[in-house]
Amino acid sequence: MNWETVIGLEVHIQLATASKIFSSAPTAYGAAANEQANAVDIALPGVLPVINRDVIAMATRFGLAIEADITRASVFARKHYFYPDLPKGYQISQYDLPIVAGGHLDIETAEQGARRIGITRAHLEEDAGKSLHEAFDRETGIDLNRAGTPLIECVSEPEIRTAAEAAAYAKKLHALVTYLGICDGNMAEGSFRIDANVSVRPAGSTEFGTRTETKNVNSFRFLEKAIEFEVERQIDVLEAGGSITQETRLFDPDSGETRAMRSKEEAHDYRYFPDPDLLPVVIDEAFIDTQRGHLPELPDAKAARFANEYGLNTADATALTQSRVLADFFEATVAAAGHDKAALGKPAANWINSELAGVLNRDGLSIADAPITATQLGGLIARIQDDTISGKIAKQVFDALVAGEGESADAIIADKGLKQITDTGAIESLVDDAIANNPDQVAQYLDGKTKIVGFLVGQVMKASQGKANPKDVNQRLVAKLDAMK
Amino acid sequence: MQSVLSGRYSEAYATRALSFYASFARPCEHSKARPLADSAGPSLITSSETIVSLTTDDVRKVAHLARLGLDDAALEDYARELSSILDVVDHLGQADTTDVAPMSHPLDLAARLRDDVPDATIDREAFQSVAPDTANGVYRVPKVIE
Repeated sequence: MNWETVIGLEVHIQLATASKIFSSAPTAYGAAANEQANAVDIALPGVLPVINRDVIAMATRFGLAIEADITRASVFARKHYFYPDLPKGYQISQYDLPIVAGGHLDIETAEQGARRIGITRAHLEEDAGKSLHEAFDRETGIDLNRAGTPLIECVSEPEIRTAAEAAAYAKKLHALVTYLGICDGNMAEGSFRIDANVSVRPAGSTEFGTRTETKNVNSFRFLEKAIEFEVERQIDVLEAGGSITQETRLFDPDSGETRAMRSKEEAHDYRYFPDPDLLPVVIDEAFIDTQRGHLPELPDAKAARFANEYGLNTADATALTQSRVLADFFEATVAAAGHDKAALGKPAANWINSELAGVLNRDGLSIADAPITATQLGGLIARIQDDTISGKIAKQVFDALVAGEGESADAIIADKGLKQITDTGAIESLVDDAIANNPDQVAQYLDGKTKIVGFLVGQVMKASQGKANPKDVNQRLVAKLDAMK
Repeated sequence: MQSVLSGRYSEAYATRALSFYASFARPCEHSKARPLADSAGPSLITSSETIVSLTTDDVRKVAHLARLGLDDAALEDYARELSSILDVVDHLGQADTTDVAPMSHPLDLAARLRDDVPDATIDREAFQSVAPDTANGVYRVPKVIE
């Protein structure tokens, strides 16, 4: 049977405020346990929540960026459940009237092409504290520093069809919130957490199958793996005549598998009702206009501009605009390389997407911690463009810059004597040597196998220690060989 | 949009009201509690018909959700008392609210917002002095098994 996968993502986006959503306790990560939890956060009797204006501003900017409706009077509600890291016995969240309603993200994957994924809603809520299950043998430790940290929970429509699309959606959302400056995007520290609702159904069916929810996936790669595993597992169960249990599952990165966390046999009854401690949040047009004015150039617009201004293809433009830091790095690289954006865009994109990406990947670094600056890379590209060095030597200079062996490409080229040989006589004699020393290949060339000239170019490049210009060498060789016919 | 919302509000109303009132119910007060209908009911209830009727199963479920331990006798008393409260509240449903925007708060005011300025004066020691068990700055609670 052919199966269709149905995926919806719920993403918790931690907002980059200085203080909490309902209290003035600081939100900085990594403080000593419970030193950032004040009387409101630990729910001492008699305290009252007061809403942080920046939280409302950030949620509004988010709503505008996904072209959603901003709810003019949104309401906070209490969501009740009992867990030791939830000191009030309820979480303040939003229910009937979330601040952001509707909206969409446009994604593109190789398999599915370009698709628009609907967003159901995005609501504000407070984070819970942390349960430290490993802290003691017989007890659980509770650290309430995270309690009250502002979150946007963004819920997609169940319109995602493949693991690759889920990853593309999550990356797009991640890029958006970091561009907006409303989230630091640090997935390892839990600033951007993804829950994946996954079900399968016979292709063509309009009814949804029973879904499972895989919680707290904290990398795009894990998200893809978790969904792939879950889809396979569900199909195996159904094809063996079994049925899917609606449950919460956890992804184990070591095994690449998901496993059941807790079953939802006792359906959650959160008993939502409007929080009597909080009045509705009323947003007027002036506030929305102000927030609209604060919107930066967003990833899609930037990608379109990159394609246009720098002559990039869609794939390059999309890859380079995945993060604001990366996009800024690219633009700074081109600016350092010269004035001709259209000519320098492609080489800069290639260096960043291949060589630099390789180094970052190898060393587990993000672009923000790149071991080479945009100015250095731009300087290197300038020397390739003006034929001071060949592409092969450029790789050597790049490695030297990454290793910190020089301040600039120019300094390394001078230090190591890597400048391309421009002395025509020297190159001519190397070309003559290559012809004299390789009679077999020369004979083949004269016999019509002209591709063999590449071998001879290689010999000259080797003899010049890479400092000849391969294009120039090629031309000289072809001229001399053709003259021998 | 408003009519949709008021529909949703009223649909969910019984559950919410229940949990709201159940959260005030404490088993230790049960023996002293007078049936609320005696004091508040008759003057407010204009119809003799009981519209909302809670079963003891409803109350058992709500009590469980609120982690309240009620014995069978208490369940029956609360079923009766909470039913009377809901009957009173249900009279509001008779008002024509077609053109009335639903309110989420009795005060017709908007929330005042606070500037995002952190205040790090937090006296952890004072807060933890009233906790039953702490160690290394964390609260210790019975093992939570997932």
